[in-house]
Amino acid sequence: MGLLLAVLGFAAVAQMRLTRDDSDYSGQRREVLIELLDSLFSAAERTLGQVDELERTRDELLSSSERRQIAIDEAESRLQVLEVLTGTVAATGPGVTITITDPEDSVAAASLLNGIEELRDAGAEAIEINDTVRVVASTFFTEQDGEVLIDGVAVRPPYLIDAIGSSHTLSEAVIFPGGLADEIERLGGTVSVEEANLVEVGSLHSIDTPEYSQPTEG
Amino acid sequence: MTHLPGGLREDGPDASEAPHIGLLTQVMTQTLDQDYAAVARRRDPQVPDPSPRWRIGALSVLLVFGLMLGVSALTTDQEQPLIAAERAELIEQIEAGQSKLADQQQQLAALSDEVARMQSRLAAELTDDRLLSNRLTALGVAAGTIGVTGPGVVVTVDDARYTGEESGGVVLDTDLQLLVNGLWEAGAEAVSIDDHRLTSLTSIRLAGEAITVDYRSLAPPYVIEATGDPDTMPARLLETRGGQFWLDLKTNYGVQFEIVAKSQVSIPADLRDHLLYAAPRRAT
Repeated sequence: MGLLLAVLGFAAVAQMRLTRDDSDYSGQRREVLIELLDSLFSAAERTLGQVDELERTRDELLSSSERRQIAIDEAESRLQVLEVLTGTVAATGPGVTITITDPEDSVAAASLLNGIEELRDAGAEAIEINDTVRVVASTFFTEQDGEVLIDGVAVRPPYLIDAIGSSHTLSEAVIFPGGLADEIERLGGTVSVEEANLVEVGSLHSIDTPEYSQPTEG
Repeated sequence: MTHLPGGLREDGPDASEAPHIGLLTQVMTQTLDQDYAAVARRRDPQVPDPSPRWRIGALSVLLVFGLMLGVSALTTDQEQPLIAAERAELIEQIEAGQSKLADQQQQLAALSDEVARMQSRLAAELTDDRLLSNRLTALGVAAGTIGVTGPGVVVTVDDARYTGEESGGVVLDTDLQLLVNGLWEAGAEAVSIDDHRLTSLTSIRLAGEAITVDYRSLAPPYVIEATGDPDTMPARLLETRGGQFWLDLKTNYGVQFEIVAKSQVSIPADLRDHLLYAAPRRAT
């Protein structure tokens, strides 16, 4: 009888409690709930710290990426200039086209070399001869069997020199008294200069990896 | 039935909850004790059979139990709002905290992805940058915008000691042009005259009485330095037309012409890397 009553009582009270047990946490002790809340707080704090750190990293990456882009843009434009200077890219611009005839076969390598120096002096930025040889810093003029060789490549008259720069200054330099025109005419040839708004220097020079020179910077 | 009180202590031995649990426990325990007592009495032969008095007692126990149960239920219901409010608040905080943490973790995951992507892109870019940097260096060395050092030769030339009325003993711009032309032919990698780097823009000209290199007037003696194979360059230079020409100048006009192989020469940079007229034309 007492046992029955006890079970009855327990069931009644348990039922009363069960009817309220609709949450996941209702069955948990208060301490457990507080502990859970505490660990949630510290987890949130940890996560927030990680978020902060990652945001800093991202901002650093963004700004270094921006800085890099500026450096890259700068490098690209330097690269373009260097490619023109080294003759590794075709170039266009205003300038002159000079035609040298040599009916007496008397125009030698030295005359062409002197002509090139005149053009450089007049500010030529890109030069090619006979649309085949790009003239760069290391270009050398030689002769073999009465033929002119530029960087070892035979070129035959009439010599056609394309030069990019101030067309007026370049043309003045060629026809200046004592200049290239005078010298060629003294040798029995003719020189004609044509100024142009757009001169194409299309031949390319290929650069070899230096064997003996070490860059002192960069 | 000793587990009964424990089973009811689901909320822990908290002081605020003690009263009604204590009450229930008391009800249960008392009821049991009385039951046991009754059973014990029945088994005791010296105790007479239960009389109507016992029935009245049992009835009153039942009554008391019903009362207790009612009171207990009432009490539980009355205390419920206080405890429930606290619990509800706790649970609410937990749920809010969990949803906030989930948001933060999502943000963290997104950020982590973004940073990882940026870093791998940066790593790829670094390779590109290294290639670009190498190309800039190679082109800079060839163009003369980067200084170089290495083995090579030093060629020193000067006007003849006694230059009379015949001008053959004076070094001319064309003489230097031929010498430099010979050096390139002999395999020079970089050349300077009096520490002026020769580039595709540099001219060797005569302006007035002085030789100019890159528009700067020089005075003799002229020191021409070139990087290249120090073992072969001197001989190769002498074989060139420029070298032959200079040997002739030395023999017939008394100009100074001296070639010395060096384990190290330094050729400075020409910093002019700005073009006014020429633009690259790329294949389209």
